[in-house]
Amino acid sequence: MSSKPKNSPAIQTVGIVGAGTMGAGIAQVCAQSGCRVVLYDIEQAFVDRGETRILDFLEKGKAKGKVSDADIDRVRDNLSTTVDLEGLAEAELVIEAAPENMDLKRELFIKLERLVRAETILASNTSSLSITAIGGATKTPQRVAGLHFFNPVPLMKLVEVIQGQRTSPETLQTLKAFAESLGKTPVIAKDTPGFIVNRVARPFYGEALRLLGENANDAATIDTVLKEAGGFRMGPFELMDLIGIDVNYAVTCSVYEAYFHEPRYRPHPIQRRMVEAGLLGRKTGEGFYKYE
Amino acid sequence: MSNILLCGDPADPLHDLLVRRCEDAGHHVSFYIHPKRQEFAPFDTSEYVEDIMQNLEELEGELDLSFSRKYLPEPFKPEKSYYDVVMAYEMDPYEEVSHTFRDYLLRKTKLGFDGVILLPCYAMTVTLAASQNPEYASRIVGYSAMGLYTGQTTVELAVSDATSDAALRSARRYFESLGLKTILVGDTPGLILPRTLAMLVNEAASALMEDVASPEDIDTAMRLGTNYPVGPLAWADQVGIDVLRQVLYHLFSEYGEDRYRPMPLLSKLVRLDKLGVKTGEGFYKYPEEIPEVSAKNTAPEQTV
Repeated sequence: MSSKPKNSPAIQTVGIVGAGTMGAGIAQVCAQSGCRVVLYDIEQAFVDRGETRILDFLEKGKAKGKVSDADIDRVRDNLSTTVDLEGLAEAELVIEAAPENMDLKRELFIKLERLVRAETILASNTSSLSITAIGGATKTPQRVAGLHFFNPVPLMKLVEVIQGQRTSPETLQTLKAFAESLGKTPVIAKDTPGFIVNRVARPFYGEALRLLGENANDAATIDTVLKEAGGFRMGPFELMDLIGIDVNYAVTCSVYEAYFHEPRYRPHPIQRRMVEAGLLGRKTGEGFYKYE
Repeated sequence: MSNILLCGDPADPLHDLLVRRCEDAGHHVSFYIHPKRQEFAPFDTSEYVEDIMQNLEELEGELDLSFSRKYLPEPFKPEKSYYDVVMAYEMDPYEEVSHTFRDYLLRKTKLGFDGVILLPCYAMTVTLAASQNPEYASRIVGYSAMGLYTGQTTVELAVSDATSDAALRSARRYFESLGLKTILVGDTPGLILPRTLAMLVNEAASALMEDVASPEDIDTAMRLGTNYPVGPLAWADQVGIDVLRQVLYHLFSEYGEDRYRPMPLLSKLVRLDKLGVKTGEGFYKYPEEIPEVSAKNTAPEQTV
């Protein structure tokens, strides 16, 4: 099969489903790059909050001299919002960033498939659910793929383009070119639990937790060694505190379940204990470290 | 200034780095090269032949010298009456001679009053090394210098219950004299960085084996998606795939847990001598960097 996209026109209108942190971030980078963006959520309050989030982010960037007035005007011009899914009918690409719930996503994709044009690509920003399972709910799984952005979207360069079991090569190539047009660096991965980053990073946390559990080193020593001898920007315990120990634990559990309890991905009792204690990291003021 | 005896593979990138830093610090450096690495020796070893034949005769009665005579077991002539630091920096990949080799080396070498034996803890704990060499147990300090392969300057140190305070002090002083910071860590299998890196590489290798993505995309994803300083596969090539595989085997045997089993892809690469930068190919190819000595090993299989 040809690796070249089959004469796919550049994407001009993008629909975004979900105006949370990820949805708003994706809407912002699309609008900044010159696409028309329709941001959808189920309630006006949610889309308003998403829009405010985008403009606040840009204002902060302006204060730091990284964003110009022209950038802000372009985003304002390109961005519109809706609480009606029909508002996405004209999009050439829809990116879904709804909550991580398979039933919800499958239902959404079935609805979207009916209202958009036949050639419109339907992408999910899921980080933990199967693209194959989402696509499997539709009649046209060849145009369903993953487009996994990283938080914070405007700053993180990486986008994982995920190929479901039935995703077509054309869909993948179009999404790859689209990610490049946003100034991102796309990588292509087959639809497997955790894709690349959330899978390959598991041992960074898993081994650190086991080392801590063996009680031969404290968290600060493990972090210091990995930063100073390893060159990692942050140690695993600092990073878990930043991400949220609950969030990290949930990702670990999801990969572990998806691989039928492969022992490499097994969560550690310390994680669960921290979550049970309500010590979730920076957001609660205490995790592996204390934050005043 | 101290007398330093370095024991390892001259093709290992750590070799040049240690020699340079030792010389900068004004230390006197001697070398001991593993018999099976003889052919890679960066200097002419013929002048030692006489000395070696004598040693062989002395030793043959008491030790099983299973390695071939054509590989001279001792290019190192103990130039100094004593050494302050005996530092092995290669984990011995040839298990059949490893124990004999270490025992032999230590017997032939006299240590100074505060002398220390530094052993790499990639595939053994300090406690294990101490139990294998009880006469020297108080002198043995374990270390990991894995960070040095990617330009870091911090070394992990570990001690057994038998290690003397003087030996640990000597180890710290030695590394500090080379401009390297030390951090004392617990004596657990694979210490901290080797264990973490080996498991990251194993996971990346498993994703590669399953064809989830290309090696380049796996490395790019880890650098840009989670800020790793080097992608795990390129990192493995720097450190040596053989070394990381040994770390995994060690973890696997110490913990008896499935999670540590090395991926078959790692074993395959090791058997093909695709160990990384040091042999010119690992997960990636390094055409310009093939050193002369290994070029002859890889010459028959022409690569594109």
